[in-house]
Amino acid sequence: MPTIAESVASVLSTLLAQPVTAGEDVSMSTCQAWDSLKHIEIIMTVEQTFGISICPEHIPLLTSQHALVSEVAQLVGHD
Amino acid sequence: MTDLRFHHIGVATRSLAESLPRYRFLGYAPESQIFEDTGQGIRGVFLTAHAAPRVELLENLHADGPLTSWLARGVRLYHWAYESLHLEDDLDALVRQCGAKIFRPITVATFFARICFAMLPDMTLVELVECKAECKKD
Repeated sequence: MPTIAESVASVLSTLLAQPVTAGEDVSMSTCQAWDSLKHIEIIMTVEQTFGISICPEHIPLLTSQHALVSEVAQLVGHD
Repeated sequence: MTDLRFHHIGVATRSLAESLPRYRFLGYAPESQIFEDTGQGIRGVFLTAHAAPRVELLENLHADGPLTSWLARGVRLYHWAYESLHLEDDLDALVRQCGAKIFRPITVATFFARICFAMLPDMTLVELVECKAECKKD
């Protein structure tokens, strides 16, 4: 079963159309494809993938792979 | 259930000058002057036609403007706008009842008094607009 970090990397890889591994920290500031429109798509896909609901106030802050993994881990309670 | 009223469809174009003649051919005529909203980074005009939805035709003010992502995806009709009499409440209802994500928080605008954008789970972008006092008909 993939870890949270691997699943988030898989989501980013698909949506950003570039290889992303669990050990990286792709972010809005380093990836041109990660714009504000893509950001919403990433948030919604992460929510669907993990069956979670991200607090609206947190959404603007989750602009990096590490931040997403931390948020998901907190919401699902493990990893 | 809200009292939102449909207002317009937002259409992205690379060039107002190039697109306007095509809309005229389709029976549309300008309803407004061409306006610039430097806060949003767009220039636009409202168009109306008989028995057709109002269109807000928009182009970027700068190369990396807010329309760039949509245009790159080949999306032209990119938002549906509704007039709101209770902007905060309606945005909150979109988020809590429809699972929408706030794409652009409530901000002061140029053509309207205030606007905000929310993305529905199916990636439909909804704009809520609060008309200026002089525009309100009832």
